[in-house]
Amino acid sequence: MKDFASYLDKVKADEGLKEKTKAVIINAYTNQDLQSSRIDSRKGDGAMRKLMGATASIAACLMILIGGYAYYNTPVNYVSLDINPSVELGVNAFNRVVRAEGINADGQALLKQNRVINVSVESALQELVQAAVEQGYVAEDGSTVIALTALSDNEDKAILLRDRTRDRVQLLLREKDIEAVLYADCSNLQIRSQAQDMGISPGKLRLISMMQSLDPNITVEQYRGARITEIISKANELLQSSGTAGIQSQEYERTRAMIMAADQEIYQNRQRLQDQNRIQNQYQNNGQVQAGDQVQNQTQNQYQYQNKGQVQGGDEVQNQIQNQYQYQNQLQDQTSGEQQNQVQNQYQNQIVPQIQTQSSGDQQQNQIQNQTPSPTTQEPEQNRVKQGKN
Amino acid sequence: MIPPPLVTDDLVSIAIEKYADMVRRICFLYLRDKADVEDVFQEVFLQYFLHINTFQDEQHQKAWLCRVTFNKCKDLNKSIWRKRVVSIEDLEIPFENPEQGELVTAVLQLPTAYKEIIYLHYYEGWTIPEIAEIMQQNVNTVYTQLRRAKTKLKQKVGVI
Repeated sequence: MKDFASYLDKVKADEGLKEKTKAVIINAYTNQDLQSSRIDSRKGDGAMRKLMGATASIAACLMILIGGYAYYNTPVNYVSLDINPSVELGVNAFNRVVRAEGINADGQALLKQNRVINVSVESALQELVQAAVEQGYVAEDGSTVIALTALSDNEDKAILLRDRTRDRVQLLLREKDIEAVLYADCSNLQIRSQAQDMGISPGKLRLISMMQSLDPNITVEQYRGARITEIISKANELLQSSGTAGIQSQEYERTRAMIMAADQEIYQNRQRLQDQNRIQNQYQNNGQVQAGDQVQNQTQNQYQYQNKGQVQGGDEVQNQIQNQYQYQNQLQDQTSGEQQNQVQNQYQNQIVPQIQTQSSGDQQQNQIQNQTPSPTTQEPEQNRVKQGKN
Repeated sequence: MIPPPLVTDDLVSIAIEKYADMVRRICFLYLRDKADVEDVFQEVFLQYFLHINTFQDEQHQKAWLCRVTFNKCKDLNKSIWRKRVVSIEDLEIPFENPEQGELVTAVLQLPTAYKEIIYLHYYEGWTIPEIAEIMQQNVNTVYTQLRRAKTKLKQKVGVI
């Protein structure tokens, strides 16, 4: 340590430094103005430092708040909802809707009536779909397609968003007993900017570009105002005609399958409801049906089958039906013995599936209806005949 | 506020002559910039004359000055915009031999608390209990810190 001490020995304040310090000190203590300021300088420094600290911390808090708000307020994913009102929802990182934009006039009107900002994307979609149904955008024949397109840069997130929104809307449709076809798809954000340039919704653009790959003559303009339902039908038509030729990517294959499935569903819905309506109308025309609910329709169908069987004395199925009818009558009269019940139970087991297949509704049924005279007048007579037989 | 004591030219001259070298040496341990040293000098002596009536004896004055100078130097180094790496290259005084150079460099690179103790103990020649009183720390703490400082120096320069 001697070396250290000897080195420090050589460290000395030079004359200039001493003189300068001396001058400052004397100046400070003789000059009144300086005196207070210099001597108080420590205090001033402390207050200043505190003030600066406070300012800095407030600024930091503000920045965090602003940053947080900006993060909250920035949509990262998008969901496009197309029925005919086209709406695009911007979803932030916390799965909340922070932007809602109507792509067409109907969509804008829909958004004006329903405020969906700051709610979760599922509830927003639920609300919008419900509003669309109430306003009659979803046709009652079940042919309307509700298209959901989840858009995200991250494929996993897009799929997740698609599944979540689809499940929720599906639940809503089931709960409210709404007949509609749900078409859910996902894509990346690239298609969104393209769609924005063209002024249509991303979901629509995706389907249109799909169609364009099959038929180059199709333009976006043609389908700008079209309903999604029409686009899906057209797409399926094109897919049917082109067959499987020219299929390259898995992505394409998937979309194709989805479109075909959706179109199939439209067709089925339409058929089912049409059948129902037809049956209902015919009964109403005949003045047979007072309240047109489904249970009644079904019982009436049964009657008609039975009537037909009796009149024509037809094939086995019809005979079975007849028997069932007899059984029902007997039950009503409470005259039947146990043995009879067994036999009739057997019959019923055989009959029920057959009836169901037949009454699930098609041309045959309608023919039956046309041929059959009014059951209300015939019923008592038939009952008597059957009972007599037994 | 305590009214400022009567300060004459002579008093200032004597005090500065007496303690300037010591203050300068402490500054040397912490500061490399001449302007910083000037700042510390002015502040230390301003405070000194402000409290000149409160000192009991010579020893007290010296200890008080050491403590104030340490604190001022540390305050200066604390400010973010003044934080500078101590560069050993621009030491003004040349070393007598390489061993001395190594040792001084090693001491200057020690953590702040160790530097103080090394200086007070080996240069000013205070005992550990005295240092503990000046630094207002436990005696054993000072012992421990001195031992750690010595270990560090040994690792760097070998035998002290």
